[in-house]
Amino acid sequence: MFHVDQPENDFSTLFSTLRSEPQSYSLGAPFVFGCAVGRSFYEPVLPAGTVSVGWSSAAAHWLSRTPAALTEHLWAPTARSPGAAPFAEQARRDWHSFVRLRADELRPGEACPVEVSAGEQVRLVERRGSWGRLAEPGGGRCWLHETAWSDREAGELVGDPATASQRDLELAGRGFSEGEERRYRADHPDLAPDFALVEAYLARAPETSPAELPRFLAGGKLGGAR
Amino acid sequence: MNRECAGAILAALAVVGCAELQNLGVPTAEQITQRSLENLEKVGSNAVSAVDEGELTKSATFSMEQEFFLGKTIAANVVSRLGGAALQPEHPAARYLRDVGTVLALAAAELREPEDRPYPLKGYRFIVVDSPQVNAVGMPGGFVVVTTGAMRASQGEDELAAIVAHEIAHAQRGHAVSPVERAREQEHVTSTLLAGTDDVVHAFFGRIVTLGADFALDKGFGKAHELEADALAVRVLKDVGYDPHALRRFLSRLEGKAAQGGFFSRHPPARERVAALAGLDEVPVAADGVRLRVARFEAVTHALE
Repeated sequence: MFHVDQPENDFSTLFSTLRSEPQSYSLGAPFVFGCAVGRSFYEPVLPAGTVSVGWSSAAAHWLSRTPAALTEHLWAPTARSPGAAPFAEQARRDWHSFVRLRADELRPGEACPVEVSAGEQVRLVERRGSWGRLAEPGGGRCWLHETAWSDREAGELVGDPATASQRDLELAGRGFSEGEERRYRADHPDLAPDFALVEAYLARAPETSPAELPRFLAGGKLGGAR
Repeated sequence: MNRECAGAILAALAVVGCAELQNLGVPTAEQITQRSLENLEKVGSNAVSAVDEGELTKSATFSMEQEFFLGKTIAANVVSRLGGAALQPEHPAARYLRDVGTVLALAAAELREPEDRPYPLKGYRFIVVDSPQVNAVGMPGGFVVVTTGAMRASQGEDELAAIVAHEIAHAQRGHAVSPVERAREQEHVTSTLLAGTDDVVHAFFGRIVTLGADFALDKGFGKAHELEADALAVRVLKDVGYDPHALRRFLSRLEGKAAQGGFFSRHPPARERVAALAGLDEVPVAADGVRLRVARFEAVTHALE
């Protein structure tokens, strides 16, 4: 597991957290090793074709350089004045660089979700479910999840879901919820009576209540004597 | 079951007066009821706190909510594969199984190890399927299915409790969810990062439902897990005041039934399980309690005819 940040980053805090945080991936997984790369992500950070899973969280909005002084606004991504134009152009260039670099580092067919506000410049050339294929960057090869531009959650799959590998199937399981049960039931109408029965037990057959238990226990002389 | 059977059971037990159970560490009925009260307060929130505290990484990486939806869908598949004719929840046999199962589930929770799954998000559900097959199935999410064939094959409440305790043990120990976990973890240690596309998630969910039902009904959870579930079941039976030898007795009587499928086809040979249980100390069981339990068991199974 490689963590990437600029050389000035406090990596000692990172490694302390990995060692002590109860939810750290490094606890209970003795053969997963945390490493650090002290380099800007606008440079290559790992050898080409070696990364199995990438992840960028609330970072890709940082530009590689400050193109001009911004005086009218505090937050460049939402700035609309003429003075913000250099930032928009820099962001466009940087985003192209970022995607190209990560594409080089990923193994073919693998993915790098990117949590970032996409702003209002998204232009889609195709929708498939909750995913949209971007006109740029990537020349139509990059897909963005709708949560990225609706600004709820964010995520990007660099790759085509139509050709998702078995590996993706495994990884994606982390995300399923009640909605998946509904879709499964829609696909299997023959199971409707069986689901109805399970739901009847859920609704009408909870565990025996504390009020009812004493009678059952006494009726079978269960439990020790007082 | 006829009177001769009941007599045979009593003859096989070391029977004592009820008062002597006090010295065997068996909790009183009041204490067992108190467990239920306390559990009612914790169910649901315990599953949430388990996620917050990172406990799930010790046994499985599905959240308890995911395990519930997965288990519910697997249960519908299992009911279907067993013929789809389940008794309504109000049927006396379903009501009775619920009583037996609740007491056992609470006892199992008392014996919980740190690596066990938390108590199911919505508690246990004990479902009776009308099928001649002798079968019982413990699934993720606290769903337990017992066939009427298994109820009829039992000789008394204590043997039925032994079967149910074994299935609860599978659920609590995480055996029921572990085949699905293994399938996911085989290739990917760092599987925490991707959200996946809708279609990918959909395909994955369908695949693990099939996998979970296959393991629960046909493939079994492996010899080590079956023996582990037997061992926990015996402790649970003992904790409540059931005869801890009931599981061994049930297995011994039905040894050689693997060809009939169900409960025996997916487990290690019954003789191996019986041998593993042979080291149990003789445990006194109150004779009057056995008589009462046999009588009410007979009343319920008679209603299945």
